[in-house]
Amino acid sequence: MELFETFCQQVCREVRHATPEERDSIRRELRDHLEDRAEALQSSGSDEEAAAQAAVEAMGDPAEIGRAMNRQYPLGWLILSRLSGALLLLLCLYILFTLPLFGSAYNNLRCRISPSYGGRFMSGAAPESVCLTDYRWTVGGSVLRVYGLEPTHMDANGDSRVRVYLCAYNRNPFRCASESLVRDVVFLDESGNELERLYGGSGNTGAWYTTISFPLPEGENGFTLYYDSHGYQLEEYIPLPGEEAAP
Amino acid sequence: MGRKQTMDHTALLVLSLLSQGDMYGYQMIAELERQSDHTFEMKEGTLYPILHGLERSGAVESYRTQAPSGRERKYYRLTEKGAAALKAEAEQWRRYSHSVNAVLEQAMGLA
Amino acid sequence: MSDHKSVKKTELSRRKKALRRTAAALALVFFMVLTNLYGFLPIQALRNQEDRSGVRRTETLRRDYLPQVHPFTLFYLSCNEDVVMLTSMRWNLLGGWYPVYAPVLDCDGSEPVVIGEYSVTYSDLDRYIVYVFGCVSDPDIASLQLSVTDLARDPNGISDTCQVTEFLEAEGHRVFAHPFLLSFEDARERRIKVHADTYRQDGGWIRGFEVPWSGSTSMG
Repeated sequence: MELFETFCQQVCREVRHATPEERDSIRRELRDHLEDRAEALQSSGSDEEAAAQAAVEAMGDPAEIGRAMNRQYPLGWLILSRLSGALLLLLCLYILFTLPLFGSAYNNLRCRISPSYGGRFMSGAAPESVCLTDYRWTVGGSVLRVYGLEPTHMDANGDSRVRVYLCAYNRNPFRCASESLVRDVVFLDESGNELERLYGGSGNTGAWYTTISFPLPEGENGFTLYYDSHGYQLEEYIPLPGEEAAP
Repeated sequence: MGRKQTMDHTALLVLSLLSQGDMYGYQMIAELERQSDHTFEMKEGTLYPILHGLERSGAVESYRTQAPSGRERKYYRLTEKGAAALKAEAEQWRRYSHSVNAVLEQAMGLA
Repeated sequence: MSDHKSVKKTELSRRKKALRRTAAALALVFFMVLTNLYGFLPIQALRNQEDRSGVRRTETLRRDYLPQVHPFTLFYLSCNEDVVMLTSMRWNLLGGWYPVYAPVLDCDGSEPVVIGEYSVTYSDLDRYIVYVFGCVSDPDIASLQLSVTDLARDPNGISDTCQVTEFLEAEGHRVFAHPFLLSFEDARERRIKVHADTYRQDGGWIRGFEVPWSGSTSMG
């Protein structure tokens, strides 16, 4: 009945802070009452139009009813609900957009499990001259790892150098690894002299990767990896891979 | 003399109606008219803010089910909290009206 | 007759809904902090920089907010047993607070005083910051005099000077920092030099030296 709809509309207009479901419920209840009253009036003789009109009049002033109803639906908890809802939506949208960021955690874990995939050997297969190794040192929250050694690498001048493949990852895959590890690590010969190193640059895909090459003095079969920075120290002798391992 | 009730007298009537059984809005209006010998009249729409207010305070609960007419209606049920409130308010009202009556009778007697 | 299909208390359901949503939002924020997805607070940027620089956890000594130079940048001075660090960080809507650059000074007591100079320029402004910070290990040193010279404008003069008499104490170090706010006409002509003089308690001069450059950042 259109008359009833108008009445309900007028009441609901005064109810400011109600959810659509709550408003719907109020409308339904009022309409049910109007229908019952109109039916009762019809059964006692009135026609449909008159009964409807009388029913609406019997209800009272819709604005006044609406205002009284509005007092029963205060803003109260609704405001917190709306604010939290908005925040929740924003955060979810944000996480969806930055899902690629989890890629850095993935790379961090890859470095931990199989660095050859994330590092220089994109296809996962190292060139024959490189010997895959696994040396790891925990330095604070990060881990320095030597995952490849190339005892005879030819540089641009044709000299033979040792090339070391390094990576650093954070034990917590969501956090950044220490760049200092791949940047400040040095290599010493058997006398303890620092070997002049060619720094291959470092890159970060969640974990830091770098390659460093240096000339090893004649006759020496290993070198010492040395790191001393900002309160952390690390020193270890690394033998070159034997004849059987390298071609 | 007792103090005036804290609850709207219509609300008190609604609670007492519901103590007799679950009802829906229109049914309550019809019952009020009948039980008061058609002396009690109110604008029917004003019942609903009262009902929603009682529901908000926990004195009543609502549910939708089929009425005897066959259609679905929103029924109201008195809760324990509502029953306790009804008892307290009714007592309050009895005491208050008793005091008012006592004073009036005195005045009537003298006049 | 009572068919309790849906018993709904408006107030209670509103409250429950509000609390449920708030709890969910807070849980999500907690998750994002744990997985380092968003820098809600500047301290997160500091911790991220600590990871990246490879230093142990530091204690914050001083925070500088210089809105007259740039509104969304913060500078945190922090130190631990081994180092003193100055972290510059920015806020971005996507990502929150993130570290830009952090010069680190090794403060192990081998030198009487260690000072670094970090300059930050903003491409769209004619002002820039020269941050001079460091730590003093020698108990004889009571105060410092820092002076900045703009070599392009006036090679022999002093653009700005500062007297450092108070130090921040933490982890056994005496730390100080002073941001010089300078302006210049032409960005490309900018060349500065910072000089430091150390003094004893009675005012006696100990020595003077040039403060080494620790880094520059150009923020867009």
